[in-house]
Amino acid sequence: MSTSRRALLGFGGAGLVAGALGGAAVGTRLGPEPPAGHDATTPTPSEPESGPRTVDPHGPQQAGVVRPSTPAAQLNMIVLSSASLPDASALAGLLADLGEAIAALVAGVGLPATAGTPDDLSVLVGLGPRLVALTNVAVPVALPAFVGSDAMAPGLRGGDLVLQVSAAHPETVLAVSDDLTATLGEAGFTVDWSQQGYRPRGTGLVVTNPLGFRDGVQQPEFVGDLPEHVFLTDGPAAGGTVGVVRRFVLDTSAFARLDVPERESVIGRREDTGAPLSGGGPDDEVNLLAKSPTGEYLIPAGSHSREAHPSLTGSTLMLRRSYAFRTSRDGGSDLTGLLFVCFADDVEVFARTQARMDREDRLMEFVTPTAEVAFLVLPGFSPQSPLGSPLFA
Amino acid sequence: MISSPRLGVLAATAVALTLLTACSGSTDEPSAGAGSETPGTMEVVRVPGDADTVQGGVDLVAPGGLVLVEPGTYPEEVLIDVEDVTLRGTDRDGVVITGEGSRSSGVVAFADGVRIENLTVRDTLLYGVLVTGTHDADEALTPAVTGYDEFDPDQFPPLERFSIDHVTSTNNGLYGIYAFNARHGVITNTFTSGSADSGIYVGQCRECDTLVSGNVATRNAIGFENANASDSLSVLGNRFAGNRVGMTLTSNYQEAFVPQRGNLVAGNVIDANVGADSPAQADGAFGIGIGISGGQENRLVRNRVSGNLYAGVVINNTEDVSSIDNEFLDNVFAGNRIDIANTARPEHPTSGTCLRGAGSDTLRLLPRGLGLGCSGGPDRSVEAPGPIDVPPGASFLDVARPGPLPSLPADDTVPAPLPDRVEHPALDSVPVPAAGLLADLGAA
Repeated sequence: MSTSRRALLGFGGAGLVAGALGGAAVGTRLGPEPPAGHDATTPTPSEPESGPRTVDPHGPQQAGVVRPSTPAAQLNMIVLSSASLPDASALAGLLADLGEAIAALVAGVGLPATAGTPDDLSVLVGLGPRLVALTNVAVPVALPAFVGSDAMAPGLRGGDLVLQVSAAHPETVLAVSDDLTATLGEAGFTVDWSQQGYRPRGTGLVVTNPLGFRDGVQQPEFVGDLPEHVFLTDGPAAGGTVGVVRRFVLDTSAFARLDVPERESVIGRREDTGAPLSGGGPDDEVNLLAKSPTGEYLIPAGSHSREAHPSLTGSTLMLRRSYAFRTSRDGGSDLTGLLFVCFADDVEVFARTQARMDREDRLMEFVTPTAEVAFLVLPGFSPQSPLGSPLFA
Repeated sequence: MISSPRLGVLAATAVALTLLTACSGSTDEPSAGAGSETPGTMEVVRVPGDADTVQGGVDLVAPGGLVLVEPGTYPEEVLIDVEDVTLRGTDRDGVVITGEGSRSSGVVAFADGVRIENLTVRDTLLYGVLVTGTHDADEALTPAVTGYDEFDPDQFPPLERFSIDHVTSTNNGLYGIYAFNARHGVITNTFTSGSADSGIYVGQCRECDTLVSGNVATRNAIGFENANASDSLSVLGNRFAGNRVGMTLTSNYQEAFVPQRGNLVAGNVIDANVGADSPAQADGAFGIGIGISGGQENRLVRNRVSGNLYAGVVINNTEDVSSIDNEFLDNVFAGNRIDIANTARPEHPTSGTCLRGAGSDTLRLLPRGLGLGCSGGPDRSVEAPGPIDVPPGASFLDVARPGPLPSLPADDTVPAPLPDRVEHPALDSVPVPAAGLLADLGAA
C-alpha cells in the first residue's frame, strides 16, 4: 500500500480529501501539522495576546523532537562530557534538576535578561553511551566509525550529555545555553563542542538546505500524534528516542561549479522545483524503480535521493530536523555546513544509511563530517515524574 | 523520458480516491473496481464475437471458464480477477495486446488459478504480464506503483496457482513477465525481450513452488531476475542469452522476505549476455551470466555458462546480506573472461561456496581456488574486476521484436483448474543443454 494512502487513512476530515486531490506526499504534509484530536493539553505554537509562544516542556516525550511541529528557527547543539562520571543516584538528581531548570526557563522563570522573548523555546536532553550505562536501560547508542570519523579529534566524537536548545530568537538560544552549561559545569560537565544553526526557509520539516535543494521531504508517517518508528515504545526509556547529530562542512563552491543537471543528478531532485527526477511535484516521493526508456534510473545511481533511501537498507524513515550553519573565519572563507539531526528508535537505522552513503552517495564527495554524536533522548517528564526518573526506577 | 513514475503517482492517487468513496459511508455506490463486480456466467467467451475487447470478454466469463481471443491488436489493459479463468489466444503471434507505449500494463491477474497462454503482449510502460496477490480492488500495489512502503504479508496473501505459457512479452518499460507475491505457478515456453529491467521477474515469495522452464529471454537488461523468491523455485532448461545480465538471484530490501534462498537452477543456457540491442542495466552491469547478490543455498546444476565477457558468475553481498552456501555442480563454463568471481565486501563475506564436478579445478576463478575446498567456511573475495566497455542502452520500445514463435494448438477446450501444487521435473532428467538450446526461437 502506498505511503500516501496509509497516511491518508490515518487521518480524518477535510484535509484528507484535499491531500488526495492534490496527490501530494501526504505523510510529509501532515507530519508537521498538529493532527486533529491532538492532546489539547499540549500547547501548539500560537501567538496569544500576552506572553511568548510557548512549547510545553512536559509530556510523554520531550519537546524538541515532534513539538513544535515546525522546528524553531534557531538552535544550539551542545555536547558535553565529564572527566569523572557521577554515580547513578547523582546522575538521577542532576537530570531531575535539569528538567526543573528547563521547565522554569520555558516558563520565563529565572530567564536571563539577555534571553529576550523566549518564543518557541525548548531544550532536549540526551545521554551518551557512558551515561546510559549508569541507568537501567540497554538501548545501544554507539556509532561505528564512518568515512571521516577517524579524522575527528576525540572530543568531537561521542559525548556524555547532549543539549539541543532551540527557540525563535538567537539571543534566547544563547542565553539559555549559557545558563544551562554553567549549571552543568558545576556538576563537572564541560563543553566538548557546540554548534549554532539556523533553520533555512521551508515548510514544516522541509527546508531548503545550503546547497539549494529541498531537504527532509520524506519523513515518517504519523500515526495519531506520533511518527512511526521514532520513539521507543517499551521499557523504561519508552517515550525516548535515539538521536544522532553529525556536523558536515559543505564544499558549496565545488558543488556550485557543477552544472545544473549534474547538481540535480547528485541530489536526485530538480533544483528549481524540488521535484524528484522521477517526476511528480516537490512533495512527491522519489520512485527508485522508474527508468528512462533506455534503462537508466531516473533517480540516478549515486544520487543522494537513491543512496540514502531507507528501502535499500531495509530501514525505517528517520525523523530529520536538520539545521544549517555558517561560521566566519578571519582571513579565510566562511565554513558553510549542515548540522544533521535525526531521531529513530534504533541507532542502526542511521548507521546503515550512513555506511551506504559512504560507499555510494556522490553527495559525500562534497561534505566533510567534523563532529558526531549519538545519544539516548530521555523520555518526557512532568512535575510528578522528573526528567530521567524512569531510567533509575 | 517515459511517464511511468507519473503514472505511478496518479495510480496511487486514484486508489486513495477509490477508498475515500468506499469509506465515506455516505453513498451506496459500488466501487468502480472490477473486483467488486459480479463475475460473468459464460463458460466460453469469444473475442471478438461475444465481446469487442479482451476485458469485455473477461467481464463475461464465469469462474473456471475460457476467454478465447482471435487474432487482432487489442490496445487495452486487461485485469483478470475471476478465479480459474484461462485467457487464451488462438494464435500466439497474431493476438497482440499492446500498451502502445502509453499504458502501464498488458495483462494483470489478481485471481487465483489464472492461465494466460498463446498470445503476445508488448509496449507497456511497466509490465507486460503481472500476476500478484498485492493489490486493491483494481490496482496492483507493486513497488513500481506505490514506491517504498513496508509490506505486510498478512494483509496481502500470495496469489495461488498461475500458469503463463507460450506468451510473448516484449518491449516493456520494466518487466516482460512479472510474478510478485504469487505461488504455485509456472512460467513456461515464453519469449521476452526488450525489457528495461528484466524479461522474467519472480519476486517476493516463500515456498514459491514455481517452475520457470523452457523460456527464452534475450535483449533485456536482465534475462531472468529473482528477488527474494525462495525455496521451491526451479529454473530449468531456459535460454538467457544476449541480455546485459543473464540472470540474477538477489536479496533486495525493497521487497519482503529477505534473504533469497533455496532455488534450483539447472540445465539452462546462459550465453553471451553482451547484447547491445537492449536497454541499459540501471546499475551499469554488462557481460554477466549469473549474478548472485545476497543469495543463499541455491543449487546451480548442469548449466552451460558461456561467452559472458565480464564474468560467468559474480557473487557478492547485498547490503548486510551475505551470499552463503551456493553450490555449483557439473556446470559447463566456456568463453567467459572469468568463470566465477566473488566480489563480496569483507564486512559481509561470502561463505560456503562449493564447486563440484569434473573440471572445476580448471575454471577461471577469482580469487584462485574459490569454492574448490567446499569447506563451508568463509570465501576469500576480490575487488570487482576491471570494467569492460558498456554500450549505451537502447530504448525499450526500439529493441528488435522477435520473429515468428510457435503457437499452441489452441481450441475452445476449457481446461481443468490448475493443481494446488506444481510438478517439478526430476533433477536427474535435466541434462547439460546443447549450446543451441532454444536458440532458433524468435529468430528474425
